Amino acid sequence: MAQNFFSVTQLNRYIRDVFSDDYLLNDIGILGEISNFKNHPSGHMYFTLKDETAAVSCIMFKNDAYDLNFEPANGMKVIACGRVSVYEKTGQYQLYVNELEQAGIGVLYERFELLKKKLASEGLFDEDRKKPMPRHISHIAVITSKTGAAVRDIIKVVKDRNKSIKITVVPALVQGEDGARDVVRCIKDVNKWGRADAVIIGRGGGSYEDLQVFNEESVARAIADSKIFTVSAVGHETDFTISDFVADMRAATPSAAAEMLSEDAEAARRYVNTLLSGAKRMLISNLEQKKALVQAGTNRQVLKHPLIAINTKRDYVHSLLGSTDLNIRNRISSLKNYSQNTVRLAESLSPLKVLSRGYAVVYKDDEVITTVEKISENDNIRIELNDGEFEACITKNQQRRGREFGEKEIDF
Amino acid sequence: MAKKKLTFEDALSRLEDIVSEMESADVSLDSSVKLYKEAVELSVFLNTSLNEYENQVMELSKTAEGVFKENTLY
Repeated sequence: MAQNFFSVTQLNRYIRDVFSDDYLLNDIGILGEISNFKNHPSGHMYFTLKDETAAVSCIMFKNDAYDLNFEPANGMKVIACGRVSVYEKTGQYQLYVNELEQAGIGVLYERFELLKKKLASEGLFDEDRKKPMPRHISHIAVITSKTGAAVRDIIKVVKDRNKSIKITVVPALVQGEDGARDVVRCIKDVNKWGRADAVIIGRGGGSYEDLQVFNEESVARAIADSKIFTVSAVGHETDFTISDFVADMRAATPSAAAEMLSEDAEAARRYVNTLLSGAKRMLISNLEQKKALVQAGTNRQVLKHPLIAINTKRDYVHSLLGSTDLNIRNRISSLKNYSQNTVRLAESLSPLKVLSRGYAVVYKDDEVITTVEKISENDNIRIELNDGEFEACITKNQQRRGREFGEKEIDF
Repeated sequence: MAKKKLTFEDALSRLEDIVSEMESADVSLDSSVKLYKEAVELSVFLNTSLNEYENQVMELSKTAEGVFKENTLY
């Protein structure tokens, strides 16, 4: 049986002093999850802070709670700072919290917002920094966990769409403390290696904390420096990380990234064949065009019937000749007539003709006698008939008589 | 006289250029034939590339000296 005994009050007071003398317990921060949270009408907050295996009671007085910039709730991870002491009345020790801050997502959200602002102001998210997707991608690098659904999904989607695309996996830790450093190394390696046309950086879904590697500044800068087209594919549809903003393209999921980068082989084949048919069409139309020109040229009448020209000319000449012929003939006949008439006239006027009609020419001393007055008795005259001449002597001079010409004039 | 290996991209661009050249106004028949021949060669190359089946998935690694190697993953 104990010789020394104390009262309960004394015990609890003693314990309180033990606590207040302890250096550590006077100013300590505890990480834990809030449960049994009660916001008392008095304004004081009562809750339990717990982890996997233990719990401790907490109280935060109204004055300290006033400055809180968030609403504490069950399930929240927090860091509670204060001192540990004992509530003498009950003997229960508690953490008297004077500062409470979010340890879980809250902190992460804040860091995310700050980094996002910083990098945006540096222009790292600018649209014109983003490289365009290469028109033809034949080799894709994938930076992600070697195991896990992400890499398998990517491979499956790519192979389904286009079996000719090469895939090279670059394994990296995608969460935890070493994750950022590993991902940065991989990005640099892929760039140095240089064989890939595009690189997918990502991981499958997880808690917000799990995705933090892709919110790291070092990772963001490595992505910004990447010369190869980079696609960020982190988590699920609604997860947005800094990597998503800085990459050349964001995909909602790794599978979506694979789909965007793998050009459908069938579509590509169709396109190539369309181009080729286009070329063929152009060639044929060119041929047809030239053929038509040649035909048009050879169709000209002059080539088909070369003699036509000659015949045409000949006909023309003939017609010319014909008309002149006629003219000439007419002229000739009229001239002929004229000359004939003239000849006839001449003939009829010819003394010889006259002579043949019985007239004679009388010469006296080689002079033609046309009047009886030149003739006297006993004159010697020469008489010319049409077929000869003879000499005669005038026996008796005839008496002059008046004559009338009764011959007609000749028309021509 | 080493010629740079023809890439898919380059071949596709050249094929597109050929088609638009043939569509343009006045191409001599001789040129048309030459261009079409080239177009056929290019499309054979392109379709062949598309039909090459890559069955393996590789994994990139680096030796201590910093040399890159690819090993079959699966």
